Amino acid sequence: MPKRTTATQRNIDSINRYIQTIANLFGTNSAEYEAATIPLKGFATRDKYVNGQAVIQLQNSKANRKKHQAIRAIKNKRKAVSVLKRKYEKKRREYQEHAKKAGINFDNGAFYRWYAELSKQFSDLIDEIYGSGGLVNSLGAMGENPSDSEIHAMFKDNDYRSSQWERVYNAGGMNYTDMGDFINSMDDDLINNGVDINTGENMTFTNDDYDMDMEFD
Amino acid sequence: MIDFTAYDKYQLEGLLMLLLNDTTAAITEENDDGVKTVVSPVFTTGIGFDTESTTIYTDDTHKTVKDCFCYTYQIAVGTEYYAIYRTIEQFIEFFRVLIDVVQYKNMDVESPAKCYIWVANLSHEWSFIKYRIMNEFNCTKLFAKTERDILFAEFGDVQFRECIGLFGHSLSNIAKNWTTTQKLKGDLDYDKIRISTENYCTPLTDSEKQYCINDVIILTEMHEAVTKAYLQSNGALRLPYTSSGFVRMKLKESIRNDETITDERNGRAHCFKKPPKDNIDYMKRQNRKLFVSPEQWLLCREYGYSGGLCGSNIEKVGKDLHNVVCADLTSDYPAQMLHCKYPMGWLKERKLKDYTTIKKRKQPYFIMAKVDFESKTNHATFSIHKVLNHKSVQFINHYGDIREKIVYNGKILKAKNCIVIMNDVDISAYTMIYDLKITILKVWAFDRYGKLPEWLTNCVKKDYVIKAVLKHQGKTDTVEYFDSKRNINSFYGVLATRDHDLHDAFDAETGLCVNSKTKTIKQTFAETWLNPYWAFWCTSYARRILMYFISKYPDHIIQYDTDSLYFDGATELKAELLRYNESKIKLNEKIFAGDKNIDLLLDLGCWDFDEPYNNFLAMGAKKYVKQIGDKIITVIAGLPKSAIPAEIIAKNIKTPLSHYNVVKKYLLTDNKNIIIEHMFANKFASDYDDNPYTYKATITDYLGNTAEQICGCYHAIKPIDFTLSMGIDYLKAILNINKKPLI
Repeated sequence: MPKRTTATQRNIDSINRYIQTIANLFGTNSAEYEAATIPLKGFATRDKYVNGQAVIQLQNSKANRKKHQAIRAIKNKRKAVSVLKRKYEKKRREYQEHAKKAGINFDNGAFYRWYAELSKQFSDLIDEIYGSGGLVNSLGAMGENPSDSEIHAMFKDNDYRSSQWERVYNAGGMNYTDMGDFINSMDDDLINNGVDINTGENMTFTNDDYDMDMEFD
Repeated sequence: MIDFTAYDKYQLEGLLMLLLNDTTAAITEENDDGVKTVVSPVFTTGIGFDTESTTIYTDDTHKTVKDCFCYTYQIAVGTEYYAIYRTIEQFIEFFRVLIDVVQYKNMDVESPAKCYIWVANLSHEWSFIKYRIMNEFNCTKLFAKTERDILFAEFGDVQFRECIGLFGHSLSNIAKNWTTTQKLKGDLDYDKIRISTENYCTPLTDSEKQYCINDVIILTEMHEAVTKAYLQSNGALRLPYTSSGFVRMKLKESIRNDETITDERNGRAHCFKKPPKDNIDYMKRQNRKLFVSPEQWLLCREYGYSGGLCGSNIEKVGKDLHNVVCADLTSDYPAQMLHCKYPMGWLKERKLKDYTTIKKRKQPYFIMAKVDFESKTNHATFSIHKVLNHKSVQFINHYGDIREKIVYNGKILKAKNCIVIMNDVDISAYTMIYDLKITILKVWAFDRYGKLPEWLTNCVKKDYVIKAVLKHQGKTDTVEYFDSKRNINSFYGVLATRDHDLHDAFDAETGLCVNSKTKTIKQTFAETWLNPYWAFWCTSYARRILMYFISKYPDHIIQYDTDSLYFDGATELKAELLRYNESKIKLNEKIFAGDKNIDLLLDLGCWDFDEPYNNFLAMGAKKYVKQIGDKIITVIAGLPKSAIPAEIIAKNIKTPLSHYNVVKKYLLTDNKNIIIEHMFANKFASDYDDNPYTYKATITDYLGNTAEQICGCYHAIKPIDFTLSMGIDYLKAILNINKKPLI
């Protein structure tokens, strides 16, 4: 009779199966796969070839098994596949109908891989256009109405931020005074009409809109 | 006392070997690279250094300096030994021996001991010796506030250190605080020309010698007293370069020992690629989230932040006023720090449509906005220098200039199309004074308001309690009182400092201190461990209090400055001030609950009333003269307090308040300048020479002996007169408002 596997060994198997599922569904280039494999840093791993892809697997070695708490944490913290799939669900249903009509052989995993690849291409394209040193910048067209959300996304991006600091540093460090880009990024309609053109909201306020509470009366 | 001026090299070496013996304890730390010294030991014997110089002017007006050179270099080692060297060669020789001795003493020692040379006003001495000393010795570390304002220079293990500011505001003040030897009355007669060359030196009289020695002995005595006072329980001594350094040290200690932060840090360690090594490091990582973009920080720092509010009621300027009451806030900034709430969490740029929500939720925020100002009364409080399209060409080009502006003494009374940056507290303050029309252009918001963390408030409270108790006991001349008072005043300063202004290298060509580590903004931010925006909010709260009373009683307020209000004694205003006090007392009862000296602490942030002044003259921001009985008190920016009283006595001025009334003078004579001569004003202008080469000048001293004096780089002072004046536009506005003639 084979020896009963320990809980840690079973956890390792479970994690490996999970990574295989993710790779199968979203592909090894996807953000989902990356998120699933990041916690494996510091562990001994091996590659397993599944459907033509090299998938990282946790080795069932003695050294790995010693880190049983970390392994349990990885197992417990991983996101359910159904949750990861959720953001693609609507598109999948649409595509399924389309596939039925067109007579395409429809396979869930293939769909997710295709759509993950598509999203990645799309975000790469946006990076190429709006990212640091991107197309828009190199054309000098920055500030010609990149939408609010795009600017917002850019400022959230750490790489973009640090490139901005570098730009300022190169232009004279703390004594940096060139506010040209900053000024141009603002909406001219706003200053002329007092209305936010994106939302149509009135952005002009007077004394009555503020309370003058000193908190001591 | 023993004079070692005549000692030769070997005798000097023996003497220094004997004197430099005991050191304070070292604090070391073991890490991967071996043992690292955290706090260096310090020789308990201190050294004092000072110079005296002669300035030769081109003519009797003393307006231009011809030559300036040192004729003595005084050294004290410990409190018993001194030397008065007459040439720089002798001083350099002494310094060389000193460095050798310290090096010898530090041989085979794990943590080398530092030897402190204390100097009162190091920047002055530095300007004479800088080229010589930088060329001949290897400077390992340097720290300066500005190009010339040097605070610290290290050569091997010997350090020059500035003591003014750290232990007192002048040498006589240091002597009063720390030592038994006091500064001698009177002064060396600086008008006498004295020289010192290799062949001939102007002899010093005994009293002159005594005067020279006295100054350096004060420094070495201070070193002993300071070593005793600041010695930590583990035997180590840690002295910062500036007075706010004490507070900074204290706060860092408080952060390191804060268990809440330690728990939080340990709990969040897994979020970092490289977990923070201590609490300070953790704070630095957290504070990186406070800066949205370089533009945001630079604009908010320059335009979203201002100091105290000061000004005059234009209707009362230049008039004879009587029975004026002064109310001032007790420890204003510490009170705001304890009483008010401050921005916490991340700063993020928000979409305009979120602004209404942010406002409703009462989140702290900055806005950049186009504002139309129109004052409700004759009071103007918004400075025109804080308007973006007044100062910055780029903003003027894009948004156009300010329109329809009326400005009183640099403050806006009425204006349109002003691009400004304000925080929410500022908005609530300025809406009291002005009718505003605000068009929001950008919004940056924090997560929430919160009380300042305990590691900060506990330190403020502790020092305030010490100060209040000692003041009550009448022990105002003790070191503890001096310490707590300095600390209390430094807390705001620590919040508001920006360490990127530091100068840490010497430029051998220009002779100036420069910034060698050109830090990027990013690096500067990564080193920020205190939230800089707290200082912004602190001054905003202080300004709002003043604006509240100004807006409510515009006709009764005469003059105001940061934390004080001068008013005409109106009972309803006084009642309101007392009502304000009641609310603050209630707050203080909560804050200091459980303290056994609570009765002494309740007046924090409360209005304190002085005796009414018989006569009062207001002349704009930070310019007023007041009289109580026969005593004249003047507050005029840039003029020492004693100047005008001295002139009144000397010239026997019968009606001082009309004598110094610029408005009346302008009305009568069309001249708006009142000149206060140097002999009363005691103002000096500085004159620098940064020439790296020395030259010989033939100079005759006051005894009639002539010799070839070696001159070089210098810092000379030349007497100047003080001009009391007011802006011409402001004067015209005053006359325009007061349709009736003043006289």
